[in-house]
Amino acid sequence: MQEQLTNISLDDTVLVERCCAGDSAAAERLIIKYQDRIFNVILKMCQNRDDAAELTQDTFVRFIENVASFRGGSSFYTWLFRIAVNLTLNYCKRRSKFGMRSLDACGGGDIEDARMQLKDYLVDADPGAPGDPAILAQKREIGEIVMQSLSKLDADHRAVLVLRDIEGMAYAEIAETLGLELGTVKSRLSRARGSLKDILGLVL
Amino acid sequence: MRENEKNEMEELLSAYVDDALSDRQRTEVRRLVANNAAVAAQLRFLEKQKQLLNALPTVPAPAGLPQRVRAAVAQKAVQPEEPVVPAVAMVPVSKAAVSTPVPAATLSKAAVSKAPVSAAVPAAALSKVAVSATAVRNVRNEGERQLFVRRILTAAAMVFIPVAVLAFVVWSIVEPLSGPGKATVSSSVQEPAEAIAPATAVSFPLSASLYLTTSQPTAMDSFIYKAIYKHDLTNHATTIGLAARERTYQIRANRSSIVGLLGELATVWDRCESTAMTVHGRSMAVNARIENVRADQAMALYEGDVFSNPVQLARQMAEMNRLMRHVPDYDVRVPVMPELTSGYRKPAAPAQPDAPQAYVTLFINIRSR
Repeated sequence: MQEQLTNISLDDTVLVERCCAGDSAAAERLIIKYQDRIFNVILKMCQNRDDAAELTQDTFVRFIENVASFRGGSSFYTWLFRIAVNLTLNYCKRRSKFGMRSLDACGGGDIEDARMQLKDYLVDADPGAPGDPAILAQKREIGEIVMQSLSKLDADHRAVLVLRDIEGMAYAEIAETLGLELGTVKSRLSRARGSLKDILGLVL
Repeated sequence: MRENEKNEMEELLSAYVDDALSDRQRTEVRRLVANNAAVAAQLRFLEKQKQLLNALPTVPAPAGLPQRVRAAVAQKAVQPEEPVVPAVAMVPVSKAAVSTPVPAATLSKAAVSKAPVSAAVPAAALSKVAVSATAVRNVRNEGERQLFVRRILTAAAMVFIPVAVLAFVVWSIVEPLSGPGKATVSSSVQEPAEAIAPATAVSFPLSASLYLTTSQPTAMDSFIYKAIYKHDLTNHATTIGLAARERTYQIRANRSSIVGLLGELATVWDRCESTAMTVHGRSMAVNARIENVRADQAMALYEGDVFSNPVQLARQMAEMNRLMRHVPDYDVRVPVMPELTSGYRKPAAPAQPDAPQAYVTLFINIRSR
């Protein structure tokens, strides 16, 4: 099995076919291949690590249960992400009834410093101003501010933004994953970015 | 800038950030940015925002995810339906359970799927994920079939129960009328018992109220008082109403005395502006009121034999008087029971004429107009 697992250059289509034929190793390889990406997308959308773990697991359970119905009309990658995003959106809609933690709840000196740094980075008029986004985003407080700003978005806006800016999907893949028209994806993405800009403007 | 133009501009900038524009559009955006500081700032913000999101740290998926997925699939195959147990008993003590309120079904499902692999799943089940998936599908199909049957049964019940109730109601109304021996069921829609009771069974006590409205109440009162005295009814009469403009006499006597008194009253009947008589049945709920009652009608009621139903007779009189209003010249006569030529014989009177049980009652109410 280890030999099979190490051979990860196989195409998704082949793995899916093997999976349909009862090859449990193929299913496991697909899980290993996508688990981190699925987990991170879900985590960015639902903002809770335990729930993200549960939803990731549910996603792959659904994948195994329904892999026989996968016809190959779309790519396996978007099909799998579609399962994950739908599960997460349902979860977000249920959870939205209970309200969420306010950004104002994050206080303290570290958070204030992080706010200032983030503001300097985003609002600074000088294009050549210092600030590496990779370094900034690694700071826990800044990451928390960004994540909580994301959580303030509508679930649909958050989904499209996460799929584009974090997962790096192309517009067509997002349209396939969310079952939307291409034009809808563009306009929704634009509105999501505008909303996030407004939210960050309020926070900072 | 109008709202539409603003949205178009934001969409254009957003697509520029994603490098999803044609060459011509990209050139246009660059020209806009060069000439408009606000647009340039907005574009710069969007680019940095995107870079920031893209740079957010990634977190590795929880260890052992493939094993847990297999275990959950196998668990589903072994346990096809959600266990019907209180969610609290199944909830593991985790951050999710404590910090985030989640519906109970989700929690119980999560708890089942989080069961340790070694404890919950047989090794054989782990070895063939695809077989387990097939088993899950089979179980699901069976569940769907059962659900379909339940829905059909529910729909049938929803149709059948109202129809059955309706049928019972219709039967309870129709069947007793056509079937023999069901008289008790249809009693609610019958005429009052007095209307159909055989004349041979009981005698009918007669009690009636005569309402006389006149512009000369004092003279009428005096006349009635003298008539009572003249017919030797002073021991049988009481005055029960002493209001200024109204007086009521109650006279309880045998029929012939009452008829005599009414005959006396007939001489002054035309001095009344309006007359009416209410005949009371044995039940207070059964009355018959005769508007514009005439003296001969009142007398006929008291002349009737003890077996005739006074309420029924009064109703006939009331109907005739109502007709008479529309046909003024119509000759209305008091209905007379025809003599039968068959073997029917009127039974003998059960009581002596002067016996107390043969007494009848007449209330005379005099009102000022």
